[in-house]
Amino acid sequence: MSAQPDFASRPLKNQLRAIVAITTGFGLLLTMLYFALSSVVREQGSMMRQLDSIAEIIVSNSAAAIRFNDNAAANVVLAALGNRNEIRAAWITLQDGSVLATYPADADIKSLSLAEVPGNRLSILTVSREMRLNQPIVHEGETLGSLNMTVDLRDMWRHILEDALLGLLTTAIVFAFALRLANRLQRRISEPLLELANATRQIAEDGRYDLRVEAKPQAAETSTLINGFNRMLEEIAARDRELQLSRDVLEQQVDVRTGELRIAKEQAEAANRAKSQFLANMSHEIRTPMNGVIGMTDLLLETPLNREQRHFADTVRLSANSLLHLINEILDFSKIEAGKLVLEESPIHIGPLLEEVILGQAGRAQAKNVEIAGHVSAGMPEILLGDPHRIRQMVGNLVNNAVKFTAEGEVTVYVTQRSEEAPAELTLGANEYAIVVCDSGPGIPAAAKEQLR
Amino acid sequence: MHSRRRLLRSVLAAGSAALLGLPLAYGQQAPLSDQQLRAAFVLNFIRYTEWPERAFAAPDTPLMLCVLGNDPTGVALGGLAGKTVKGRTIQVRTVNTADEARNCHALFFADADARRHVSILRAVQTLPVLTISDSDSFIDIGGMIGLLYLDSRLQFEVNLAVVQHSQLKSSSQLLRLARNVIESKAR
Repeated sequence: MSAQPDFASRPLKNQLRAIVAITTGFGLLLTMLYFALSSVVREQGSMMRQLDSIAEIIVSNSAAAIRFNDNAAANVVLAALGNRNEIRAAWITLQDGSVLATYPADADIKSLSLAEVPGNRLSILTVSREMRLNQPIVHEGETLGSLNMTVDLRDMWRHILEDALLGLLTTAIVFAFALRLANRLQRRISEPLLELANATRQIAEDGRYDLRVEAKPQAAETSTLINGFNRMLEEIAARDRELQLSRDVLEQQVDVRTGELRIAKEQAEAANRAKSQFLANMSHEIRTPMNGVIGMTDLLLETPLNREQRHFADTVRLSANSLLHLINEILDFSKIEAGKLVLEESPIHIGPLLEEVILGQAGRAQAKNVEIAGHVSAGMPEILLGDPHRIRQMVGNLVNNAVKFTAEGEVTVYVTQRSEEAPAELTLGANEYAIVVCDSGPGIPAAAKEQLR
Repeated sequence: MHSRRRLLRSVLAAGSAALLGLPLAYGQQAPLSDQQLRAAFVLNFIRYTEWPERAFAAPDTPLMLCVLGNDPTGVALGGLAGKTVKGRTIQVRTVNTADEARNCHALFFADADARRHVSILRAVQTLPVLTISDSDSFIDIGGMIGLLYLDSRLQFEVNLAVVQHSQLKSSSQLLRLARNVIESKAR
């Protein structure tokens, strides 16, 4: 019984039953207690009244016998107690302590008068089989002696017990009836609530918001609860419908938009592809005549030319090379965009590569009075595997840019495999290398930096 | 309440049963001399007798106990002097003539002169004088209470007719203990 659930969490039905049982039981118990106690008081009072009147009669009848020291007469007076079953013994003691008369005649007065029993008065707390009544015998203001009576209280207690048992029986019957009645009446309160609880559970389990709890004649609060519950369900159902409706509309809209976007995207991609294709085609187409131009210009330069002619031919050659370079870059760009850029994997001699790039830019740097330097950190492998052409292209572009935007100072290019030598935002793992281009120019604008990411 | 009435009746019956007389026993009491016992009986007779109001001049007028004759009982009666009964002090006096006896409230005939008894009884018979004697057949010659030994025990008999004629009243308690009661002829 230690795992008994809290009273408050038990089913309503049981709680109602328990409440009725407790209140009724308590009330009945108190009532029974009251009647039992009043029965004790009543029986004791009645007993005391009877004993008092008996004693009074005995006292008034025995005075003369004492005066005349007539023990026979006194015995006869006491013998009248013979028809009182509860009086076990009685005796008259004179002032000098001697016993004048006894009842019954052979009573053992010595042991009776020594017995410790409650005397003279009964209180509700006196629980004893017998008591002793002691009444002085007074005649004309003179105390002649005393009357003692030993009274058997067992009959009285039996009456009290009978009363109490009858009371208990009555109480038990009333309690049983009260419980049955309460059991029948509690349904009127608990059943609508149980119905409501069942409906709630069903709705929670099945999500059936179309269920309604039937409103029967019942307590105002319960009606309010059920009506409120039904109204709430209706509202939930209405909201659900609205929500469903707007969701449908939204889905439709999303579908439409998605379709439109997909088409737009496809169109854009197609256009882009077409553009790349076009560029690729065009650069290829352009390269062919450009090769012709360059080849022919080379051949032309080998022929005897005057200074002016040679100057023109040199310019043609230079411009043609620049154009070819531009075209190659356009081709690369379109290859990247078309996803057709293939990186080759061949040995890179990083030192000579760096030297080559720096030497390529040295002329222009010197013209601007900008110092340019390259540095390969210690421990770098001499040969790496990768696309040397692309690396050269990238580093060349960066250095070219750096020289272009640096008005004075220096441009430094270095290659490292150590994180502490690399810029703060780079963390190098094993087999990772950084090629860093530093310059003393204005740096990259923040907006442009964002695009690099 | 029924049981109480029944009880009352049985107690009354017990009282009359006392008339049968049972062996005298003193219990543990210190034995009294015969004379003292007679004196105690006389005192009890006075206790259980009511005098009409006119018998006393005032509420505290002493009760006059007179002794006729001079015998040991009379001497023992002298011991009652000074005792109080119903607020009255007892005075004891010796009388010799009927005239003297008229002023008594109680009169004990201590001698055995029956003729003299008769004349004095006649003299006081209409007066509230309680007459007591231990002489034989005292109540038959017009005395009120006679002491006698029966079954070797001191007892008494009452002539109620004479008592009532003299406007005295004997308590029913007393009558109950009497060995013999002569009722009024009128009844």
